[in-house]
Amino acid sequence: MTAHRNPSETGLGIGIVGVGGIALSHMAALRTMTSAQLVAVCDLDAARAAEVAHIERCTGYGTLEELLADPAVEAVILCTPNMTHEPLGLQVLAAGKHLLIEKPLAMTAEGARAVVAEATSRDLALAVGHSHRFTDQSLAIRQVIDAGDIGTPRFVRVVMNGGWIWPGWQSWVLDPALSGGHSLHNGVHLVDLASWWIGEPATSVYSVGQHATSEALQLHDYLVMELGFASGAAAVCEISRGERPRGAGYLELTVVGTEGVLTRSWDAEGILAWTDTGLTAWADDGAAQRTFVRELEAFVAAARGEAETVPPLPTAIHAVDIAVASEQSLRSGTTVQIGAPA
Amino acid sequence: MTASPTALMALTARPGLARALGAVRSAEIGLLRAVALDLVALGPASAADAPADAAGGALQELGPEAIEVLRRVIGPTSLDLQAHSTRDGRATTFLARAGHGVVVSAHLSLIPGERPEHLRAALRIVGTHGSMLVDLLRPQLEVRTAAGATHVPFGEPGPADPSAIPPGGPSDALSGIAESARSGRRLTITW
Repeated sequence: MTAHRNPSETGLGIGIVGVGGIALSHMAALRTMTSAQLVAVCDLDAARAAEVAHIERCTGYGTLEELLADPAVEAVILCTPNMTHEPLGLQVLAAGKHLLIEKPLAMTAEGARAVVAEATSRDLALAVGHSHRFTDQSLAIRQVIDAGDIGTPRFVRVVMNGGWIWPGWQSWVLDPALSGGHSLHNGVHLVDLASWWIGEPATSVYSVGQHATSEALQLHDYLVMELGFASGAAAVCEISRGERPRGAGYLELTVVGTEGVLTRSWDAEGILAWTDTGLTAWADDGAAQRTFVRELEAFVAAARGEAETVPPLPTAIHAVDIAVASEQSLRSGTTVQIGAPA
Repeated sequence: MTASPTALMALTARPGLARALGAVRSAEIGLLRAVALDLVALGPASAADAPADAAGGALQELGPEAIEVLRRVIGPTSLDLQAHSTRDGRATTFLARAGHGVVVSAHLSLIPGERPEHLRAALRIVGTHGSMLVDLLRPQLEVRTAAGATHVPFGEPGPADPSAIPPGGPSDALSGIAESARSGRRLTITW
């Protein structure tokens, strides 16, 4: 392992690989943290890396090899396209760096297990960016469940619907061979929440999808997954990037237990505004940053050996298993059984 | 089957459903793409404690009304459906693709309680050009006092549906849902 500065004195040195959209959220969170600091960024677009490095006052690299050779980098946040997660993740771990890898952990069940095995063998922290676990409402829901207020959860409905946010036809996201399909690209967030709140791994998945934006899409931009659990509990996970108007955004979280029902409705934050664009539910401006700060603090704690990663690695592997099975269900039109968690 | 736990007004008579049906038929949100219905009700414990494929249970208590609501939205059709039920029969969930491609999901739950009352009756309709949320328990007033919060319904039932679909009988659909939950297999039903 590369020699490091004492993280408790100067903060964990973080290098971000891939300075696209989600990297901006991590960078914003790091600006407010003292337990970690951004020391380097890397992107295939070297000019983009240099620009971001100038703004963030860190070092910019055009190759991953250069970033990994930087002794100030103790941990890496990998924000590259999905098909690179497994190979680049293995490369980062082989270089002795702790790793926070954006979802999905990998494109295949085998790849997910390989990355986890590499981190485990090297005693490195590996976290997967299931950031929705760290939102204000997700944590509050978990507290209600843990308190027993609604009894034992037996149904979860997660709905994250919105309009088109992806780039044009050239985008890698739209190619299931590169993104893994919508189940892997975004569905993993929802199935992770559902499994977390139900409290057991899913044993089956039946998925139905639509090409809402265009029939020429290969990826199902509208996707509904029904998860089955050994206890008879079920979850319905619905995600869309094909709603109109394009600016529409709808979040619903419902947990039904043996003693009651909990709902996070679309207007739960209680801020409704009528503007020129119509009626809108406004959110607390600081909520998103709190989410990413919590996620990074949990990763730093794991890197320091102070805590386990969140979510636990078997759970992160299971999310990939569910998503891969979901894509299989979409292709076959049948219910797919899911193997036991790793 | 005991009387439905619905208080006062059947869900199918709710003004919100009537308005939603009008919007679907006039394509105010474009063409129908998906429907989701969640019904959670208090019911006598004796009605809840039964296997999903026996008389009683959430499917038997809430299923007929749920199927009627969904049927009015999407029309008579065939559905490829996968269902799950808890062993005590208190909760049933299903996801289906209708013959015309519409995605349908529903969850039915019974929670032990003496007072027949819906805790949640939420209908969401997704179209090609918009979506609707219909809280079938509204319209209602919210009254908050030191004793807590209560809800007081108001208003009249929705207008009679001039293009109402002839009753289709939910029994076959319920049997199909129960069989899918029991077997773990995706089945095709018609309603």
